Amino acid sequence: MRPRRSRGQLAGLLAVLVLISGCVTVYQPLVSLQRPVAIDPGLPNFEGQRVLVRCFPGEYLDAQEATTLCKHVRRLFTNQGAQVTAVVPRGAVSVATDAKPDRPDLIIDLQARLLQEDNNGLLWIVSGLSLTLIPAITDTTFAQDVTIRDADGALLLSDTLQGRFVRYFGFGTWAVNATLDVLVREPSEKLTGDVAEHDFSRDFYRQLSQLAFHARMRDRVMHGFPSSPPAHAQPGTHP
Amino acid sequence: MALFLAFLLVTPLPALVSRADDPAPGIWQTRSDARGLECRTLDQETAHGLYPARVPDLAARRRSDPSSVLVCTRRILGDQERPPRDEAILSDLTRTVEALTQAAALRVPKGITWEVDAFYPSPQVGAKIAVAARTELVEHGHSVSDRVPVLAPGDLSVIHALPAEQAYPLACARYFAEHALTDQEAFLGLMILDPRETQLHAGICTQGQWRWIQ
Repeated sequence: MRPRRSRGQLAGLLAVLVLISGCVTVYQPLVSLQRPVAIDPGLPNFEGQRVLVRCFPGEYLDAQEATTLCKHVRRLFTNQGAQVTAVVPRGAVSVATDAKPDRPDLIIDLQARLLQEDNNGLLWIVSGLSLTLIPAITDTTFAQDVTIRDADGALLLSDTLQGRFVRYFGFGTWAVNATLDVLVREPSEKLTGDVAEHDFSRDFYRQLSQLAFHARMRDRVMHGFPSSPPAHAQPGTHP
Repeated sequence: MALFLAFLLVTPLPALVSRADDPAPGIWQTRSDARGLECRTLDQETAHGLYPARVPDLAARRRSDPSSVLVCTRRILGDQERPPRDEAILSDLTRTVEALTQAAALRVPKGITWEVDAFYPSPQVGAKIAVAARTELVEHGHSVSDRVPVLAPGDLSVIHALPAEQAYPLACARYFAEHALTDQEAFLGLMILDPRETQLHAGICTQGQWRWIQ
């Protein structure tokens, strides 16, 4: 009777493993996302600026995800003092805006692209057969194109931010990483939980703020410094 | 039970070991290590040309279906070793200076002698920017002077009190009026205009007239 109960316990435990199989997603910044920034997105860097944000749906971002992105970007710039209009265009759009008094100072276009996706079906089968102790791995590389124009449609700045998400599905990888997180890793080096999402959001929104600020400064320079708030003077930056 | 837990932890290891050379954070690489890398994706043919010992050539029958290769190099300085703005500007200095000097050279007649200076909060970084710009101009066949135009203390005290949009045009006019710059010389100034920027602006001074390039 005793061995039979042990086998039952083992089977139960394995069933629980399958049920609680988790994901560990890691994020790796590739091009430009980890570039240092000097701007603090918590400060009113765009006070009095009118910003139009357009999030274009595409192969990597569907309309619903583009709407969510636009909502977050809107909040990002609103928190920095801008008056933001965010739209998800359906179809072709003009690069410039109409000559209305409330036309935007900056037009920020965001378009995401999938560069590469590795997802081995065989590995999913092996993972299933091993009750997810062997992980199934999805490796996704994406690019986020950022284009910033002035109200006339003149290009102020364009850049491409590239990143990579590697998702390990399965109890085994989750257990190894959770054990390392608890016993070995510093808090800033933990990998489980929503760390990847948090790191990507932090990088992306900081880079976007920095790019928009650069575009704003270029706009001021190219338009002969219109009557907007003067740049913060700093020692050493004058003749 | 302990044996079973050990089994659970050991079973995924072969799969994880097979990704030991993956630059993404994981068992073998920390998040901060991964952030210290500059990575880009290349097609396999280009990557093989650059790193033939590490990236195999495409088999002839697979040339129509090339895969991509992630190529990473470690950044020269780690995170936090330089202030973020200095790091951002210096790590991209060659490309920035190339673009700015080319744009400047298009706006003045050929045969003119360039004088170059950079206005940056850190004098050491400012010197690097100026040297990079002079080198770039020389490499493109322009005549470049080591001299930098200097203004009288009275001019400087006035100019320092002005915002950048007025300071640079006034300094340019004074350079010309005081003969610190002649008809045959052009001054290229590289600067940041706001401490929140990590990009350089540039302007040129010829015949007492200041023009912003970027």
